[in-house]
Amino acid sequence: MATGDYGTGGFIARPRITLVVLVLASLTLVTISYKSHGGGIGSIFQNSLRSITNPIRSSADAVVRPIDNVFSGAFHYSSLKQQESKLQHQVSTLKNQVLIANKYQSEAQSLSKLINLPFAQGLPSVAAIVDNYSPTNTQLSVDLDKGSSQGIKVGEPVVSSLGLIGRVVSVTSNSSTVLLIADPTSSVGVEFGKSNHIALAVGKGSFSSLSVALVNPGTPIHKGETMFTSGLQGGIFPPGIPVGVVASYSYLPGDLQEHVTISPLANLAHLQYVKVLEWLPGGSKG
Amino acid sequence: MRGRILRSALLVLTVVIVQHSILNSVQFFGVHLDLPLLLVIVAGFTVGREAGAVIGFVVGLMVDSFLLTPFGLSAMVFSVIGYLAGQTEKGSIIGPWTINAALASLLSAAGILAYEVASRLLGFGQLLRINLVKVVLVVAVTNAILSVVMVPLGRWAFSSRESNSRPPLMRR
Repeated sequence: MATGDYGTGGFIARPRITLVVLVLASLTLVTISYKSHGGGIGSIFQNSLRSITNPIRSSADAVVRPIDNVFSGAFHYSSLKQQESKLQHQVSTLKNQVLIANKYQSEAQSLSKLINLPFAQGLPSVAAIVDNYSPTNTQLSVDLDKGSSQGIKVGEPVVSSLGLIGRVVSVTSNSSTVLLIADPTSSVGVEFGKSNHIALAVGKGSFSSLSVALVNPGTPIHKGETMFTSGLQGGIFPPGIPVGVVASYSYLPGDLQEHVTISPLANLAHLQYVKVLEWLPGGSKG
Repeated sequence: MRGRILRSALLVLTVVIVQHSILNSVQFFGVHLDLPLLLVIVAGFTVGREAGAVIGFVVGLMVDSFLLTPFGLSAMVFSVIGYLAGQTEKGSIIGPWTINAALASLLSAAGILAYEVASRLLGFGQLLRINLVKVVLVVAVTNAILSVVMVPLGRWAFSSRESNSRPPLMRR
C-alpha cells in the first residue's frame, strides 16, 4: 500500500472510507445550510471564523498593501501605460493642487448625495465604506466596514448615491457582506413606464448589465428609461429605488417575452461609500 | 507531530488570508487566482490521499466561510481533489517540478469543473461561471506556475521530518 495511505499517522487505513465520510459530511453541511437558508451551523462557523480572521486580515492588509500595489501595477501594466500617457497630457494643463482639490470635491459631492438621497426617504440608514471586493470567481459581492454592532441586519437593501447595489446577506459584529445585484443569483423586482409595468432584473455576472425578464412582447419600452424597484408585497427591496436604465431591447417573432438589458445606475465595479437601509424583506423597518 | 500540525495550520491560514487580502485585487483576464485549491493539491501530493482528503475538507470549510455559496460545497470538492492528488503517489511517477506543475494544472482544472458540476447537481445552479472555460484555463495555468513555490512550501508544512528529505511523488 502506498505511503500516502498512512499520511495522517495511520489512524485510518481506509482512504476511500475517509473520503466517503468527508463527502457525506459535506453534503450534510450543504443540506443544513440550505434548509436553514444560510443560517444554522454553517452560519455560526462562518461568523466565528470571520470574527477571528477579520482583524488578522485587516492587519495583513496594512502590511501587504505596498506589495499589493506592486502586484496591481505589474498585472495592469498595459492599462497603466495608457493611463500614463493620458496623465502626462493632463499634467501639462493642470496643477497637482487642482487635481487634489477636485478629488476631495468629488468625494464631498458623493457623500453629500449619499446623505441627501432622492429616494428611500424616511427610511433610517447606516452609512458604510466598501472595504473589500469578493476575491473569488463564484460570486459578486462586497464587504462593508459596518456590521450588527451598527444595527445592520441580513436582508437589508444597500444603495449608493445613484441607486440600488444589492442586499446584505451576511453580518458579523463589525462587517457585513453585500450580494451585488449583478450576481447571477440575485434578482430584483422592477417597474417601469407610465403604466408601471412589472418585471424582474436578474444579474448576469457582469458589473455593467443586468437582464430583465418577464417583459411581455409589445410592452412600451424606451432606451434610457429608468427602472425602479417595484416593492411589491413581500418583495425584498422597498419601492422606488432606481436600479438601472434600459440599455437595449429586442423581440424576435415567436418569443414569449422581450429581451431587455439594463445598465446599473450605480458603478458596481468602483463602490466606495454606500448606505444600508434599515428595511427588511416584507416591508418592515429593520 | 505537533510541529507538523502547527506548520500546516500556519500555511493553511496564511493561504486563506493571502487569498482574501492580496489576491482579491489580482486578476488575470478577469479571473481570480485560486491558491486554496492549489494548497489542497499540494497537500495531496505531499501526504497522500487520505490526509489530502482531510486537509481538503478543512481548507474547503475555511473557504466556504468566506463565500455566500452553500456551506460545505467547497469542502466536498476540495476533499475529492485532495484525495485525487494523493492518488498520484501510488504510481511510479518521479516528481520533477514539471510533472508537479502538470498535475497541479490538471487537478486545478478538475477542481473548478467539479465545483461547477457539484453546484449544479445540488441545484444551486447558476453560479458565476459566465465564462467557465476562461476560468478553468487561467486557474490551471497560474496554479501550474505557482506550484513551483507551493510544492516546497507544502512539503515543509505537511511532511514529517523523516519524509521531508524526499521529494513529493517519489515516496512509495
